[in-house]
Amino acid sequence: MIRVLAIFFLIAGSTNLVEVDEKVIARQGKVSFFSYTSVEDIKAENNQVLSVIDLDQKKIAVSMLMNAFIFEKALMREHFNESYLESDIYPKAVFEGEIIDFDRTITGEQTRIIKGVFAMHGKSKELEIKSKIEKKDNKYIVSGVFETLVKDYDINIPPLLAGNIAKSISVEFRFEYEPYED
Amino acid sequence: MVRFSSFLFAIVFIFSIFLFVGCGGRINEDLSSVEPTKRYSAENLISTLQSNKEYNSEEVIAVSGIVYEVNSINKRITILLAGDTLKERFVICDMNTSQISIIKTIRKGDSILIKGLLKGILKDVIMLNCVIEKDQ
Repeated sequence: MIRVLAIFFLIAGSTNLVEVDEKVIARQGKVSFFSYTSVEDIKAENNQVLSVIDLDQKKIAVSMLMNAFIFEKALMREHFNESYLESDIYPKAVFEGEIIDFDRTITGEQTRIIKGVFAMHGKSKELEIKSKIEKKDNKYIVSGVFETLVKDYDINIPPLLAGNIAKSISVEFRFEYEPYED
Repeated sequence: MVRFSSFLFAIVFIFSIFLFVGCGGRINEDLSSVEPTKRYSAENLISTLQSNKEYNSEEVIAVSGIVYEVNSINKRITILLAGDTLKERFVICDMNTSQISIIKTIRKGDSILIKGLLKGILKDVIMLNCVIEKDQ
């Protein structure tokens, strides 16, 4: 009997009866946006974007502080935070979604659609983003580019400045993930 | 004609000042000589911001802590400060480019004091435009 019990506990211990989903984290993800018009080009980047992927559930979450975007000119940053995005009222932008057909066993590169909801400035928008996912050693790198419309996020741009800001903004992202224990 | 030239000069002068002010700002400013409004340990800062939703971002603060990592992800020099007991939570310090030579001497496990612009907290506390105040 003791021998049977010993074997049971040995098997239970080695197979982890209570399975925990494996997660990876990127603390210093990069999100950049570009607005191109004939009047001026506006670029900004945020290098401290947080993202977590649940590799088993294929779920991805992204969170960023709006006031951590770096602009070429302080005046642009001021307009962005105070007039357009109202960062004191809406300090974060969040994306939650699923990596469709993600296969964690593939080493190397896979291109997948990430489908989810992006919430910014009090508005939510469903997005489908084509993304490149690379697995190298124990790390994952997720990157991509997509376009989004300013009007989808209820951002009011004064008529006088409407010509300075593109209606469609190009967003680029890159995240380097490492193993994470919550 | 002279009056018009003076007017034009005045306009250009004012515009230049506007541009100068517009291109500056605390995010690019060298904070070495700026007095921090508050001083924290890394552990204390993380705990304070986690529990207090109403903190003042955009303040220049000083934080002491143990260097967990120095990295150059996204081609930016970053120091991660760890607390004494908190696991998996850090103070992420995005360093001012003037600090490159000093950072070469910093090693994991060093105890340092960093000054920077507080931006807020996600999982970790985020500070930009950081400078090393002094070795502790």
